[in-house]
Amino acid sequence: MSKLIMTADDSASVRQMVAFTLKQNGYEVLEAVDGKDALAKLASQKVDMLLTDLNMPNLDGIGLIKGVRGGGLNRMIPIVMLTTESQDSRKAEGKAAGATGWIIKPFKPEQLIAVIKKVLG
Amino acid sequence: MTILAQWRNRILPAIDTIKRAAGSTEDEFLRIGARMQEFYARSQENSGLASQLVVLLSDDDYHVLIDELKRITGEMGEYLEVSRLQNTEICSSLEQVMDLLETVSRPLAAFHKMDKTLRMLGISTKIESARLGELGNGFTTLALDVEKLSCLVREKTDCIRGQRELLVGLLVKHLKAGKESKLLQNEEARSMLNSATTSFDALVQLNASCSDCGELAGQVSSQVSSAIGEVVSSLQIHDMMRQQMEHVTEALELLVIDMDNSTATESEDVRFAAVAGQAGDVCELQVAQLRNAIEELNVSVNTIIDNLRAIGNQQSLLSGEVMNATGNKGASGNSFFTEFRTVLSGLGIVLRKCADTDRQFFATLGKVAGAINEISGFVSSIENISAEINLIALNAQIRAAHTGPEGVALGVLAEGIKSLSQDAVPQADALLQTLSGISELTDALVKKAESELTALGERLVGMEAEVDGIVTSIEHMNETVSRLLGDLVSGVDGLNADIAQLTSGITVHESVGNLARSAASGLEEVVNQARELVPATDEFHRNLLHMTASYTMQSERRIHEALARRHSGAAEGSVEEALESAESSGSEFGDNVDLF
Repeated sequence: MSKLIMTADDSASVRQMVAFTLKQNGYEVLEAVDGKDALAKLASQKVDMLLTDLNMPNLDGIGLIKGVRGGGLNRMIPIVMLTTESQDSRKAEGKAAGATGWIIKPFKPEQLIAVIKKVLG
Repeated sequence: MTILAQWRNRILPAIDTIKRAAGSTEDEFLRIGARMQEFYARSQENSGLASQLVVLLSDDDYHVLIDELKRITGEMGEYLEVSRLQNTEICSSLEQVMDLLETVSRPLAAFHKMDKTLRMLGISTKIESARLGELGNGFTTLALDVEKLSCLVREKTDCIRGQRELLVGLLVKHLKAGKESKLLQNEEARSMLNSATTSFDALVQLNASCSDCGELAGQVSSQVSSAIGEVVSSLQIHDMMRQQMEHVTEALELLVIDMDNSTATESEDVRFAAVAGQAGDVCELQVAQLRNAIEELNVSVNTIIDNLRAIGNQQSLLSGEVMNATGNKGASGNSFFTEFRTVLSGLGIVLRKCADTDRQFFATLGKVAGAINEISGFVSSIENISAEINLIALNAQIRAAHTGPEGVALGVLAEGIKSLSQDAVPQADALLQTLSGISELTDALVKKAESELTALGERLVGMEAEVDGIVTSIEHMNETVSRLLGDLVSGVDGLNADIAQLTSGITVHESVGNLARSAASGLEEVVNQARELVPATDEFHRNLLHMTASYTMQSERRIHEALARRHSGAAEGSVEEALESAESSGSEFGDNVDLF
């Protein structure tokens, strides 16, 4: 059974590229337009992994990670930030919040898939 | 209007223009992304068709087909050789028959002479009978008998001659036609067998070419995946450019607020210098950020266009190579399969013609045998006539003796008749012996030819059935190849047309570039005026330190640092050089990935 991965990003074109890359490699995809939307969906849907942008309206990526790690169905899933942000301080912030990894945009498909395979074991 | 108000009037429209530019790309990039996915799926389908073709022409079934074709054409060659040898043997035997028929003419001439002598003897007997008057009454009957026998001999001899001439004519005709047609058929068959051999080479070459195409299909698939990866990566520039432009507008909006809050006038040196310096610094920095965004967008969109076109080109290359390898000129064109099928069908026709010629020879042999039997019947009749002549001669001798001295002449005639009957026997025997020789020859040949022809006929039927099966397989394979090629060609052509249509219609980088350049131009005027009033200082970095917190991308920070260095005089170098330098250390997954 294929794994379900959520992509949370306010950019529809980025979500489109992430979804395309994942589906091409046999993953199922759940999309969320921002952190708030993602949290709402994750409350009732078990996923295998979360890929999230950092800067999003309503609730940003750090807030989303904290929300997921705070409890619920998905509190133990791997969470990888997928963002344009490259500052070490922000990475540290993400790591402290519970991020598993950090990918700076733009990603290459094979790179994203390699990371997913690694974190999903 | 104050200078600050003039700048404000330049910056605010620039902000609006930049926002418009930043907000105008999402739909276009989504549309390109959707088409890219469609193109990828279609290129996968095309590669799948190419792979199916390659597999079809290089798998076990194909090898089995080649082996079967080699075997069956080998058998056809053997069949032709056996048929040729048999035909040579039959021709040789028929020529012997002709030679033997030539020897029949000698006894026939003897019979002709006997006929003439009998007729003379009959006339002489009639004359002598008339001379004897009443004494010769019994000889009148004798003369009539002799005449009757003469007619019989002539009749039978004419029949034998007629049969012989018919036979010779038949043999000459069949030997000539048979030899010529056999020669033509052999040449035709050899030529077709050579064509078949050439076609085998083409089949083997096809196999090798298809293996090459298989490798090419793998390379193309890999190159298409790589090109799609580049497109996926480049399509994300929209998000980055949008963020970069948002940061520019945020910085400009803060500048406008600061300018609005400032009460400084141009006559107040210190306070105005601070505001003008800030305006110059902020606008110069945002112009650099804008120009970088435009450049990045341009590079990315061109990468997208180039890679989408490369996908089309790779597909065309693969399609072309597959077409070349299979020897097809197109979906409706003939392939070498069609040529091979024609060669096989032609071979079958030639073999059937050979078999027909063999059967005709066999029929000729049958006719020869029948005619010989008939001639033999006539010869037996002549033998019987000879016995009758002997009896008549004996009767004539007795009557001549009863007649006394007057019958001496008739006695001589009777002696002559008897002598004829004795001469006829060896001639008839010689004729019968010759005919018996011909009969033995033809009977043996008929028997041998019958069994061989039956065996050859069965073999031909078997070969025809096998050829039909192979031709059906070839037709099936040809249909599949043609269908796959047709699908591949139309798939590749359609994909290329759609890629060309999409890529020629991508203008988002130009429209956004024009908007951004227009905004940058307005900001540059502010920069120039500000720098004229207050030259740039090494305070740049400190003055705009707060701005670095809003950056998300490394490129934004590098542009900022490059400008700061330029103004402080710490190091020379362009913004572009600054962007190219200082790569991060990265991980096993790349420079942009960290796993915690």
